[in-house]
Amino acid sequence: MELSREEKIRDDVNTHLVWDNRIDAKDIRVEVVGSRVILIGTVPSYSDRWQAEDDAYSIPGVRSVDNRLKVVPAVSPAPSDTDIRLRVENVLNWNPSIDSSGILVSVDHGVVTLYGTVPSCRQKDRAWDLASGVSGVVDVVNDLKVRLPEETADQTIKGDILNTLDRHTLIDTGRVDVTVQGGIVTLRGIVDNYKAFRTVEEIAKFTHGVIEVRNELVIA
Amino acid sequence: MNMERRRAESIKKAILSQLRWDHSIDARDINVEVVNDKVVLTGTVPAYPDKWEAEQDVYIVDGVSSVENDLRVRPGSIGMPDDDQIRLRVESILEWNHDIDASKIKVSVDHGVVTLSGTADSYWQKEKARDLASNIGGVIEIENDLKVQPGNPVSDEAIRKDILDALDRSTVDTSQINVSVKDCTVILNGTVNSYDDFRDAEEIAEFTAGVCHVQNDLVI
Repeated sequence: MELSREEKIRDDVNTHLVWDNRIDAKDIRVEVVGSRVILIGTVPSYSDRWQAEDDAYSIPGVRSVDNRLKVVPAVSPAPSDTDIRLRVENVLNWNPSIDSSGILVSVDHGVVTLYGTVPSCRQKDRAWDLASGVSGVVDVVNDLKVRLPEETADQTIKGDILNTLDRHTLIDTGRVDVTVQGGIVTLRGIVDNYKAFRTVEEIAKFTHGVIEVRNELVIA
Repeated sequence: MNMERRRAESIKKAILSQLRWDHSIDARDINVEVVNDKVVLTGTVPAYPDKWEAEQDVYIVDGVSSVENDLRVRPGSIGMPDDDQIRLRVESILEWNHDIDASKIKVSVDHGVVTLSGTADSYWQKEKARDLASNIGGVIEIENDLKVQPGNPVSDEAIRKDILDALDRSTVDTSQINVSVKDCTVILNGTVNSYDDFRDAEEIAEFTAGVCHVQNDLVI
């Protein structure tokens, strides 16, 4: 009985990856253990890697995804680490919504590390997003620290997050527990699906005064 | 009638709170009007991505079923890149992206208005090109005139079946969604329960092979 459920999830994830026109899925292998999906193999770009993960999460019944995909860039000639660094720096500098003056970029064998500081969690996310779209990138390590222009009281942050969750159509706030200490938000409790898991995390991240979010929500 | 007005007032209040909550956009010059369940945004924002982020903020508010986004981007101030610089930056960001074949895209810029012309292999690549261009400071509007010419054309029947199957695999409630395809243009109509389903259904159509255009007429 349990076996057939795992097989159904595996078939659905496989079919979904082949269906998704954005992804080159021919070298991806899917394994399922319980409600955990394991992705193994190679993809030609970093965006393929996380799009494959998103696709796996979008299948009902999937509660976690162990993404072991390796990126083997299909561009030739492959850009050098210096090329990649300059591209990432430019893409960050040209963006109207990021203060890149405190961001430093290093690249080693295609692995990009972002460090230094940004003024908000949202900008930290955006920086990752922009870096991950540059071709030749194999992985992006986001070590950026959030340095706020001014501090917000933990009580105010918590109130702001709860009010915003309340306005959202999909979240059952009765089952989500929010604690804030020194600008660090911890989320606990239960959500229905991956979408809600991500939405709650984003709302916390994008709330003014937050420097970090620890998402310990469980999908059930 | 009075009930209607009170409901519209309360939706408007929630939207204004949502926009105030989102510190990543400068919402001071955004006007919000609510007519029945439809929201109209007018006024100005400082950067192009803010226009779309404001729209997303509005969509997730409980009770909103459609948004008319008439926001305009304020022309750049001193220190902003000129049209030539914007063009070079848009060309670069397209060229550095793994998903885009930039050799088939022509970029022109007039007073901050970017026009993309030429061809893309798929609709999602056409939209991706717009997304990438919107990440360049100084852009105030984007005219996306790219023509979609699928490398491997797919019959309308096969496209429709692919979309229906992908919807079935997803968490989207498809009971009231109609999918029709004509000359590789997909039309979605009917109703969905949430903005998440609205977006998910559109993305599923967008990421299906052979699609040239998606017209999303779904109502929340």
